[in-house]
Amino acid sequence: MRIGNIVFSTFLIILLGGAYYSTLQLPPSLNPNAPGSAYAPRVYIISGIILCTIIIFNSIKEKTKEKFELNNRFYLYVFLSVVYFIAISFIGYYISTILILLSLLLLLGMRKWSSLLLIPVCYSIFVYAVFDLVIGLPIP
Amino acid sequence: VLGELLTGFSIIFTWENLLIIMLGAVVGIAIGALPGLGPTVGTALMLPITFGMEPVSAIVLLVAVYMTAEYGGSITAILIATPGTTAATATVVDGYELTKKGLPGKALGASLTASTVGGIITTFVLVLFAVPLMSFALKFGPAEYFALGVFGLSLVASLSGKSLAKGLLMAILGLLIASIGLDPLTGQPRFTFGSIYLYEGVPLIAALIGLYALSEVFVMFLSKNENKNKTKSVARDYISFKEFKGLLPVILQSSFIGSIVGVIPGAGGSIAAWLAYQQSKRIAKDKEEYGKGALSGVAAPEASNNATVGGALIPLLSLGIPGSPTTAILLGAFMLHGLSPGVDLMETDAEIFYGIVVGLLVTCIFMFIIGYFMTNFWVKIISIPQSIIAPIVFAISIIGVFSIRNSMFDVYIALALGVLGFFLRKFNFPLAPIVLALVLGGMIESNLRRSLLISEGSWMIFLTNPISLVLIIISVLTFFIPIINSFKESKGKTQSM
Repeated sequence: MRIGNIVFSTFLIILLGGAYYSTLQLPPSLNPNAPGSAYAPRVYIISGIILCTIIIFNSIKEKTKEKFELNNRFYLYVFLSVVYFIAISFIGYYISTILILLSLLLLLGMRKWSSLLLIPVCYSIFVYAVFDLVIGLPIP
Repeated sequence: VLGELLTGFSIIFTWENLLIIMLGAVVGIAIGALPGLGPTVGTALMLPITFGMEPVSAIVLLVAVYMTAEYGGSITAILIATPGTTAATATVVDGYELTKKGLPGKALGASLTASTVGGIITTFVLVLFAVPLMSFALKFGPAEYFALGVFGLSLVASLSGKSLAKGLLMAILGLLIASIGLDPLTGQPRFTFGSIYLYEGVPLIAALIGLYALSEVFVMFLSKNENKNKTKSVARDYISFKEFKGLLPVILQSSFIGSIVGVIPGAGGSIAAWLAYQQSKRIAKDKEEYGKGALSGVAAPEASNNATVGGALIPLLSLGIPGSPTTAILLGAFMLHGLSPGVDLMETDAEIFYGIVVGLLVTCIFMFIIGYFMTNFWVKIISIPQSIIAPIVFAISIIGVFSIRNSMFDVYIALALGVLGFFLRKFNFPLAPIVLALVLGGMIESNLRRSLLISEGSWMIFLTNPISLVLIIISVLTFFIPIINSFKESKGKTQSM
């Protein structure tokens, strides 16, 4: 039994069900000879639900038992990413980027002060030089 | 063609473009050498840097990264038995044996020479086949384009890995994501949840960076195997002219194999490399040394995987069909710079096509020079720990996604798809079918509906039209042949047990 596959496919079936419901609100085709806006998405959704069901059955039949383990650090990294994106809007790109790089380097085990200082600063200088000065991109 | 090629030379031989190609070659080799970051991530990360560049310079930069990353993959394969790219897996067999014998310089020399020759040959193959194919594509209407899209999708079977159901589900997911936004025919919003940011659909590049680069970054964040490669400096004991002459038949054969395999969407450098490796055993002068450190065993896969680049560009440039995630990113780059590959490219921007061709040739030459003189720099690059690479790739991905539309919304989309990509990797769902479907979804749907409008609802339009009929037959074969083959293989295995 492959727990991960079962959980993921079930989640997808629910998502696809929601998407199907959303297609019901799309207007029908004005031309009776041609499919409308909802046609292709509905074909995809129905095929997707059938495939998810097949995957669930295959995963249940599977003799080898697969453990599903996810390192809690994954959620921490996702959380940090979201905080970083929000911080960009408030304290600007450069300060947020220096802080996120510093946090990530520390979390990944970097303890050398020179690297902790140099990597975020050098990266920010690189972005400033390439994106701000050369390309002229408005950095948030 | 000669006149157009001369125009291509005049476009590329400017200081600016030569520097851009050199930058592409350095970045490409470095990215290829770093395990986990292949040409797909490399081209995705470099895409934002192309803003503000002339379209031809932008495309040439990305193509240079693509080409040189294929060589870069061999460096780690040879020195530490860890292929930098999947296409360099076959290079490990003999490349690492040569390193163990104390001949890493020879192995790197064979790889570099073969990659360069493979790259040059495939560029000529590109010119030879892309132009006639573009003229042929002039005859295409909605039915043919629909069939072409279906052909592209039929490759899902070969990209699905062990589970066809998973591959198909990923393609369906890609098609659904592609249908987000305004309906291409009626302008009706679909799955936009009232957000105007989604009216133009899910931005392709944000999706690709999320699925490939960010998901890889999450894998790196959680990976415990810290890079402890303290590879020593490598002496530049390059292959001799006599050795090169001995390798030439293998290099030429492998280059043609790579070019042909490259054209087949979905096949890719890995298949080409193994095929070339197997085939080279027949003609190699050092065939007895295979598996024990044969130079031909390094040259064959390396010539072949670089030759797939030109091959892969044929359907992209002539028909606008990407056959791999990397060419999907290139397609995104074309669109971003206001270009449409296919017939239009030759009609309106022929100089760009020839600029790309000349750019490829120059890339090969730069790859050779940079690869040769910077050998020990690559050795240092592969010693950089993942704890440094991962945060930097993360930060570059974010600024890259933001820069496409100056939109933080795209960044959130990339993160969402990065998380999705991480779980898909974890549960062994293949990523390539999503990308293929994401790129082809719009084309398939709009041309299907246009065709049915023309035929007044009759599906026979796809079978009565000779070109679409042939394409549909090829699609059916492309879809079922790998399934039949894997069924035969598994049957053979159970019988032998």
